[in-house]
Amino acid sequence: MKMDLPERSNPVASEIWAVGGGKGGTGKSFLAANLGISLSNQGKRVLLIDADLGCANLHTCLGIDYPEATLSDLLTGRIKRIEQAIVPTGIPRLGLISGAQDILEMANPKYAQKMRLLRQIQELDVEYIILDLGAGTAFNILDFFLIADQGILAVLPEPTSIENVYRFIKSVFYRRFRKIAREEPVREIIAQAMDQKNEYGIKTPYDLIEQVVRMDDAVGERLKQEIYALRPKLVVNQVRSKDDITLGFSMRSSCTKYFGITVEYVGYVEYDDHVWQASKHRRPMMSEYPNCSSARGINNVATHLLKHEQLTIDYLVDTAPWR
Amino acid sequence: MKPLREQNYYEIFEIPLEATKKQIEQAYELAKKTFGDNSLASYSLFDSDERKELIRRIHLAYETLSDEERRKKYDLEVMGRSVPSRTIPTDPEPIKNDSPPLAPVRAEAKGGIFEPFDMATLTGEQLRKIRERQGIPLQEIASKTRINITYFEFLERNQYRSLPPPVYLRSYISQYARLLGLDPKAVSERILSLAERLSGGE
Repeated sequence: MKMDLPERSNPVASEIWAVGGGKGGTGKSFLAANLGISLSNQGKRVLLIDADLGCANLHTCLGIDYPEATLSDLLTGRIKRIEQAIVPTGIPRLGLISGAQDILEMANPKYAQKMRLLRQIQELDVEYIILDLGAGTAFNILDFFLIADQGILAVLPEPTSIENVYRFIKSVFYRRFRKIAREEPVREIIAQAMDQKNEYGIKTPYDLIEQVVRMDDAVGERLKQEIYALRPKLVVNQVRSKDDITLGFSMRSSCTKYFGITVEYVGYVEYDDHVWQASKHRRPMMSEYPNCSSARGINNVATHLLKHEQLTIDYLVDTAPWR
Repeated sequence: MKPLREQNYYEIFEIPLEATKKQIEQAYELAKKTFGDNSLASYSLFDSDERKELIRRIHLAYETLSDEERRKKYDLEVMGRSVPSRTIPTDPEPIKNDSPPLAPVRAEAKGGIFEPFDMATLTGEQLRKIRERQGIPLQEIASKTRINITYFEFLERNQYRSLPPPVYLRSYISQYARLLGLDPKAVSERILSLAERLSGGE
């Protein structure tokens, strides 16, 4: 199977953000929808795409009914152009392409279909495209995450969610590695490395690179460059305490020490009853309660992503001088 | 990226060579939390022996970097710094050559976490900003004080009219202020005066 993703050829192509994170229920769709609204509030032209094939419900987060035209129509060829699948959201400058629901085979589009779709996405006349990815670490999800300019990970301050984010990061890197390494022995090592109990004792992407360097210097160097280039962004959702906020810094540091990779902590969203109230009314939180604490959290995350900034620890530990 | 055993003290703390004393303190506190026994962030990546070793190295790093003389010696001998007499920057100075992942500065923090405020004109919304700059979620204040979060939401939106009567309010605001490290008496009196002015006005 050929593994190339299309190159970003158009210099003014829209920027793609993808929201993933492994576990279900960590707020991926919530983040995608509300980041989209936050950007549109700042005057950006934004397209939301529900890439959770098979379990699409981003339209519900936005308070609209399941649209007539969806991603599945595009993948089956029922509609030819991606523009035909865009539905208005009632929010200025924000469009939506809904995902496929129920059609099981659509959850795994063929590689060529996916590539055609990605090419079309990149040529759309919008400034930002936000992909809402499904749960899990299926190749489809990893590929969408990898093509994004900014890959965003939604994590809850809970052990299961944290474990799954780490697993997701690992899968993303190995997927990327497999795509750039063409040499058969190297590919074999990478495949082996995915198995935690592999015979080479490879536990981390770092170990893997060491192993590859021993086999083929040039390939090892390419993998090293990849590891520097990929910088997943972390958002801690539903924080209730200062410890929960600290978790983002600790996860960032753990990833550096364990995987040898750079994760950027772009913000957190406070646990807030307004989110639940908005969701019960099938209304997006950002539209319903634009000044609540979680809305401010979303705006902060959006600002950091736009400016390529992140939180710094002095923010965390600083105490006010009047103490 | 080097394996852990080969990392120098600065790499262990993920700080630049120019780090101030305060940055070292902060990095040390965070590292202890990150690799301590109850850390959610690291238990699934490192087993308990690995975390013990990490903590041991973190303490070693701190012992050296927090002591000015030992740090100078370390910089010279291990880091190969050629200027032995360099002075360690003092804290108010901005950090110039920060390396990733700490590089970008938080947009709002630049506005000045130390920005002074005038107690005579303090508002609920200003209190919210002070709270957010300290990274304390409102939910945490509500759980610690066992006071309904809605009151604090009214306070932080300057909706003083919706606040409870003074007899309760004084205690609520005092507790809130204490958790932000503010003077409980001064803050509660200021907010009470705002609330009274409004309820007496119309």
